[in-house]
Amino acid sequence: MDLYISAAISGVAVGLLYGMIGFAIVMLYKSTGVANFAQGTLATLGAFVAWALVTDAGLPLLAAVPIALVASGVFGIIVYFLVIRPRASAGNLNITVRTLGLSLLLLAIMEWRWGALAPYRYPTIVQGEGIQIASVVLPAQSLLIAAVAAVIMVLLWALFRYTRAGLSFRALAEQPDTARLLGLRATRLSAATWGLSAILGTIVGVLLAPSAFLAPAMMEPYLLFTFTGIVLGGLTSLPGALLGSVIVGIISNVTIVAFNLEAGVLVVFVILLIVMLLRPQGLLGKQEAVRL
Amino acid sequence: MRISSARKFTPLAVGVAALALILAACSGGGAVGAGGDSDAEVGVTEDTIYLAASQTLSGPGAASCAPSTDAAKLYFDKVNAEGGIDGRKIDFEVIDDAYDPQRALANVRGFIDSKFAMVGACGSATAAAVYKTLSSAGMPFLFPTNGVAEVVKPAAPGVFQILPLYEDQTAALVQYGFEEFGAGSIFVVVNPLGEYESAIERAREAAEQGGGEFAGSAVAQLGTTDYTPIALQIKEAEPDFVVISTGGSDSAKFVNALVDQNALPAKGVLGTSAAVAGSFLNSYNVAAAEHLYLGSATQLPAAADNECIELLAGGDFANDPIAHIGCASAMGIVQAIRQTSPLTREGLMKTIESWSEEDVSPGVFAPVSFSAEDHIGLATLYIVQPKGSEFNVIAQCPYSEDDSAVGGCTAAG
Repeated sequence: MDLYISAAISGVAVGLLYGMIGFAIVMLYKSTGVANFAQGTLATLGAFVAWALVTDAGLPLLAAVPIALVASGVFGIIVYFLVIRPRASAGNLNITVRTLGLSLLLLAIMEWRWGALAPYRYPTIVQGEGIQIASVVLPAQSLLIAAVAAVIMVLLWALFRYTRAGLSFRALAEQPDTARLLGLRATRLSAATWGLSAILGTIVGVLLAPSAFLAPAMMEPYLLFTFTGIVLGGLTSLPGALLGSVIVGIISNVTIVAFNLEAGVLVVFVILLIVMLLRPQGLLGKQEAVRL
Repeated sequence: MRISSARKFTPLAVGVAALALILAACSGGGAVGAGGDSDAEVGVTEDTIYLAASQTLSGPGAASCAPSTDAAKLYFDKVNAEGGIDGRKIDFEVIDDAYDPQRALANVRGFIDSKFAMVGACGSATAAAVYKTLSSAGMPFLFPTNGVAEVVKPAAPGVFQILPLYEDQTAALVQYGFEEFGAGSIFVVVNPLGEYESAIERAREAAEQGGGEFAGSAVAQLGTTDYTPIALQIKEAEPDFVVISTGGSDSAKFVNALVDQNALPAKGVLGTSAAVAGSFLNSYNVAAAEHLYLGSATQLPAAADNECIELLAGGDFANDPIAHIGCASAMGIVQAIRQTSPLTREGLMKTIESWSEEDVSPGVFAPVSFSAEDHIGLATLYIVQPKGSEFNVIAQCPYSEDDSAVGGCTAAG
């Protein structure tokens, strides 16, 4: 039993990581209605920028990360103006496919620039032995991820719930035409959302790289778990993204120790299918009603 | 209507066919045949020898694999710069198979009628997918990094491998561990690199023959994100040894998870040569270094005066064992081609089968031997430990399919 409890606890740790990636996707979806398939590569690119500042420019990591966050925010805004905004009326499916193309393009660029010697060992922000719960040790980096995930979730929840900007984001996503008629600056808001999403991605990339090792395709294996987590939790719910991801992490890890690693992946697909069939809006998501 | 249409195009078709015949008759400098000589070998012209490789250049295995063909290309370029082989330059084409067996097979089929030989790249699953096609076409498949026994056992015509199979390595590693630290229990962790079941089975047999016991096994896909659950299983099983046959990055992730979970085994982690890669050195937790005993097909650090080591020095892959293997294998290929006259595919195969204790890349590979029945060249496994950014040989173990015929390991001087 101790093994299963330990596996479940380690599942919470890895689930929080999936949830962090999910935050950025959910935030963008809530604000623009677009599922961003480039979120993983944006995160990796941000982590590479921070790494380059450390190794090439000789900056300490704590100085490099803020610079990388600013750079990724600017890059997110540039992406919005170059890739998303042109022909915005083409529809969300068209824009979603553009994000897929953007992901492949960024991946190719990173392979070209950094791929030859990847993966790279990435410096950790925190050192230390972590804490032991049951027989599982939660490394200091995992504890940092949990803390950052909690802070980001509260900040984003407050942003969308209580701030004028957050309400504007939601209005723009749910009723874009009405929002524009009411005077919301749609372009500015959307650009800000892309910038914020890229910043969140970089935070995730920097936190993940020490354990996943920095490589152009670093995020790919995580995206299946992340998308399952946010679909399970509700694609429009930030707490749902975290809850769904933690559930996926726990079920996956417990299945692995009970059976094997392949079963751990298989169960994720099963969860995804069941949720899509029985509760498409997810655990905490709201059912959408469309007036015809 | 269709009939009339076909009739309408008949003169055009005849014209195209005639033109094609004329062009074929006039062309003498293609990849096939030399100077219009109908007896010339496929992929050999008067001034060029065409070689190719299907390599994992994308996906999770790319970081570990790509340096092997990059380094081979460096060596071929060096040979070309020095005048080539008997006046012929080497044209070496590498295309990506993303470690996809079907894609590798499609790549290979495109090369059979235009290249002289396939340079074996990295990847057991891909080697297993292509070897029959190459062997039946009479095309040499030289020195793949392969862990699938059926590729070379029994010896397939034209398919030669320098490196030991993973299943032979796991058995030799268990034997080494028991000799050095006493018998004990083993837990085996593998990526599906080739016939991973036989790697587990041979480790189990070696443990049981050596007076130890088998505590369990786990199979993890290449690119697994989190090895913590397996580390927890090992922590609970408390084996004396963990035997791994996992890729470079995956080995590092796994070892790091063992360190994080305080789950390093009491006597050591024994790993096959799949872990002996630059991608491992770049990312493993150095706290585990003294617990690691890894099998290596190459001497590490390699001799500084080896041509490959001189060539790679100062470059991106100077300390990458995969690059050493790629370059040293290229040296072997060049040596075999130089020794073959006239240069035919069949002649090349006979040359390699005649090698006995041949020094193809002294200071990197131990001498290699082949025969008509044995197409695995090395009979020595180096045991290495990581230290900083390089591996160091600490012992040398003979290995064989027949464990009882293998003598003891000797510590490195």
